Amino acid sequence: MRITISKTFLLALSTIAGCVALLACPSGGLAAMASVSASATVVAPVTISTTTEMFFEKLSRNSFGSVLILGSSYQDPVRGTASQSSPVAAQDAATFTISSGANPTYSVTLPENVAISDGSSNDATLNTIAGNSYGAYILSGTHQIISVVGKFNEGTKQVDGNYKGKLNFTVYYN
Amino acid sequence: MENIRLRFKAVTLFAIAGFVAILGSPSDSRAATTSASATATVVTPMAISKNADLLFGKFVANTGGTVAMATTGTRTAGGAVVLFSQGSTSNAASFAVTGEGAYTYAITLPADGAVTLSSGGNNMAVNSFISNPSGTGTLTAGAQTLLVGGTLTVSNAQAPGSYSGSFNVTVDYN
Repeated sequence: MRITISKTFLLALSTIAGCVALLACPSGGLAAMASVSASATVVAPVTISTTTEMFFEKLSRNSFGSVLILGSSYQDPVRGTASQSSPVAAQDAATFTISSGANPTYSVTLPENVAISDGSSNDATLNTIAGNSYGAYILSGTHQIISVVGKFNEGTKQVDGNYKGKLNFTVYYN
Repeated sequence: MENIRLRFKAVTLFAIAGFVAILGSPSDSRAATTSASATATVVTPMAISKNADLLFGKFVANTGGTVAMATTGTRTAGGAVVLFSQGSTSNAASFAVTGEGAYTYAITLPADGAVTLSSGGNNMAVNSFISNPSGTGTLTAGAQTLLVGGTLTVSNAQAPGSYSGSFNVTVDYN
């Protein structure tokens, strides 16, 4: 059996082959490619929760003075004649628990003053709010407890009552 | 009469033979010769190699957003994402492109949806790739530095962890 292939067919075949070759290598083999890595790290957000409230206990009303809560210990009047009434009960610095999955340094922001009120338009002020350390905190492990102290300023003719206020404690990553 | 016909045929054949002779020797005595040079230039193939990976660094996801890495190495947070600087290294990807002289070349970056960073079963997409130079590069003395950035999409409460992936950059002579 004899198979005859025409010149026209061969020409068409070679043309198609050429086109396929060009498509397979459009740049003529001159392109170059490099692979590179990309990465990112998602850090757990810092969380804060109140462990204990700041509590000044009962204070006797005197003419004028202030009471400093430092840590969990009661301090005698800083100035004036304000004093703790008896019997002595617990006083507490406020404590906050800072948590994070990382071990970052972070800073805290405390208010300079906190207004407290008896709910009947009688006010007093807490000031000298401070943490138990200053500057940057370093979280060691998964959590850390920060104590916050303040000074209660008893005003002249401070009205008897149960005074309350809210202290905002902010923590942020450096 | 027959003689005339034979003579006419002979003249005709002679004329045709002469004409063919002229065609067969077209240059005849008016021939000229010249020479042409043959040249070829071997072009240095394009090459690209990685200098630095694309690092988005550390950040806090919060409710999600984006982290954009510019080719300058500056990263910008979008949405609720907060950049975290402690122990965080971030930079654009960098490549060394080499080739021939001052030739121009085309830069092909990954398409949107093509690159994903993963950490376990959690993912983040990298889209909107950018480069400097953009689109077309021009070699200087056969070399150029190519910088590549992109935008990372961070989901709400993206799981903390180290995410990684890879992508390709292609260069080719125009």
